[in-house]
Amino acid sequence: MNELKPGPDSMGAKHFRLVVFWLRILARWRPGSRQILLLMALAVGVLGALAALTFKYATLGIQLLLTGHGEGYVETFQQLAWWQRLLVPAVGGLLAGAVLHFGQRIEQRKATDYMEAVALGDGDVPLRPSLIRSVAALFSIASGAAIGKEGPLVQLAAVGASVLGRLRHEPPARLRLLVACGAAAGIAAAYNAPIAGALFVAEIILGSIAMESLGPLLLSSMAATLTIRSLDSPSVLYQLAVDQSVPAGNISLFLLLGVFCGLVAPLFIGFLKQSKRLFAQIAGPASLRLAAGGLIFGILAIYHPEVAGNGQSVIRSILDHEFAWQLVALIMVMKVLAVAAVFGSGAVGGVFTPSLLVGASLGYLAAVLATALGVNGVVPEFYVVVGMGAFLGAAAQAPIMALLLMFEMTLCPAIILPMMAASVSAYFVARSVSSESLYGESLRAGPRSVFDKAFGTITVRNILRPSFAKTTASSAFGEIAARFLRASEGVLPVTDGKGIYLGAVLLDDVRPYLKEADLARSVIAHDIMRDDLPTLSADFDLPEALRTFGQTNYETLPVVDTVNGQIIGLLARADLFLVVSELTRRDGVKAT
Amino acid sequence: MTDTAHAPINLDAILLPLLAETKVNAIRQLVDAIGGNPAVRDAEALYEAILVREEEAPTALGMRVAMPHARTRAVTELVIVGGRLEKPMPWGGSQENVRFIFLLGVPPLAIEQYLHAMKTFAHAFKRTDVLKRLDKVKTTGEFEQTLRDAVHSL
Repeated sequence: MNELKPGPDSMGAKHFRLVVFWLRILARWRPGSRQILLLMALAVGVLGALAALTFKYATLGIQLLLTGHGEGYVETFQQLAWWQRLLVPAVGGLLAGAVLHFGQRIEQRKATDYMEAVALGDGDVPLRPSLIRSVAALFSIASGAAIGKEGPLVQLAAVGASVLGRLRHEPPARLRLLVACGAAAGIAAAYNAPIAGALFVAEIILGSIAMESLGPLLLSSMAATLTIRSLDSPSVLYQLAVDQSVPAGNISLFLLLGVFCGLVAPLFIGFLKQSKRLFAQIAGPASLRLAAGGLIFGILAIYHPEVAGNGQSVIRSILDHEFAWQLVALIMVMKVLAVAAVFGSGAVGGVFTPSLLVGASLGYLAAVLATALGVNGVVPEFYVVVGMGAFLGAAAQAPIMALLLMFEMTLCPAIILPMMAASVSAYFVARSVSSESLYGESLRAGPRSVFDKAFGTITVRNILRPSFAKTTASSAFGEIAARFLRASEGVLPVTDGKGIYLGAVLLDDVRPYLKEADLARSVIAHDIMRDDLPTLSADFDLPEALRTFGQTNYETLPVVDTVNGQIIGLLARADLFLVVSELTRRDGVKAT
Repeated sequence: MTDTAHAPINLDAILLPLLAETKVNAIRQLVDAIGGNPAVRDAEALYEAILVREEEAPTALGMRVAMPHARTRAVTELVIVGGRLEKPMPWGGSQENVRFIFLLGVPPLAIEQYLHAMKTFAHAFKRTDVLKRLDKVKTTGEFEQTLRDAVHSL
């Protein structure tokens, strides 16, 4: 076949070969907007994993500076003198507070939590406020505070995704999904749990497990996990040294454990909120509150260094039967107090992993009780893991995510059935006691976004893709081919010299001919554009836009300003559906 | 590729010779030659559309060939008429005079058919022997056969 050859007025030979190469690829296979979204989800996953690793090693570095030790937090605190256990968290809190205080001078905007940005906002997570909060979190976490690092780590992954999406001028629905992908990648990277990462976001934040959104989330989680596994060496988080299954008769005990976790979880959440309210009464700058929180935590750590860190190593110790049940109960109470002090003081961090420790302790105590009551076949490890999952499922009100997370953390299939029984019972009991979840606050108060408008008042103008490739009627075929290389959609709008919309060239129409040099000059956009393509008015409301898409098979339509006839954007059917489904979800949330 | 991409190219009429002095006159004669074709709903509209298209960008391919065309509702199917000018003439931005003219009327939705026809002609005419033979043929039958052989051998 005759293909493009460099002409006398063409670009340099090297650049030319590159263009021909891409035209060949484009002629055979060119990703549509949906495929581009999936590719971006993969990129976001890799970015998220890199952010997680950076955060992990930065925390380790600051921990070394503050304590002189680089082991786990519990081991580190065990090696510190009593006054160091008191001082290090207080200094960490003070530094974190100072970062927040001075950061606010540099950047006035309030940091948008990734959950707010996805659940309530339109995916816009500002970079600088997020970085400031992440640095503050570094000091709190590195000083051993009883708080999880997954919060800031996920925030970092999400802000990376938001920046990437904004650089590509993605419309709100897509930007929101990309941020959700970033969050999924962060969770997956933090816990080496790709399925739970995706489900965490789908179940808690997006409130949907529709494939349209779950697909990108899964890809992102997968990419993050693969990246972490190739750069770091994460092992199974909680290896269970048991090879038996749960006797069928014991399932009812797990149901009861679930009920118990479902009753305790709302109390835990209420206690954290109460602590926040108490700390809010302390007058003065944030650094003072954070230092006070650190000091309270330090006092607890003097007596029980096991309260330090996010609780992962203590869970391992419980699984390894290193503690008597009395000590487990004591550590649990101390841990709850420590988390309440640190979290309540306003430290930036998560309570996801600390809540796992509470669940693990409850599970262990339940196993001890069952053994004492003479129940046969009690395997404490199962109770510990199931307790973790049930408590987390109840606290986060996400039982499916909790179930899968426990499986991925242990890779033990025997826990699936008891976990199903416990997580479902825990969830429904917790829901009947209180509708408040660990993330309730973030999921309620957030930035204003297009999705806050009433369904009937949102127009196509609010949700279109404003950045797109276009061409003029007299553009030669060679130029059109080059523009399709850069375009993200399979539709190339054609305008006159004043930007008035005339029609559109469809990639599907011209794909087999893109590399034909002989057509490069003899065919122009006017020859191949379609003027029968339906257009959307920028002022259409969503029902009208849905009706227009319903009458055509085209996946993307041009959006035209009806006043002046100019094209102002494109709208993809998939993006419209994402918007409608999100508005419906939020209406449902408001109704409950 | 679809079947359209492999479809043969058939000429609906051939003007041999084409006696015209100007581009507009040549287009007029070629359109008139297919005016009675059932696929041509409105010959005048086709003629106007082709002139408008020529205004937008001249359709000389080089190699002494021009391919005036228009996508228009004036035709219901792709129609092609060819002609060999008795006396070559300048055609828009072409550096050399044009001797062969192939006029295409394309229904609005037949984009792929149109691109296929354009590509096929362009490939055929890049072979200098084809044009040399077309220079020499004496009858419309020979003209059509030469073109058919050239397309077939692509």
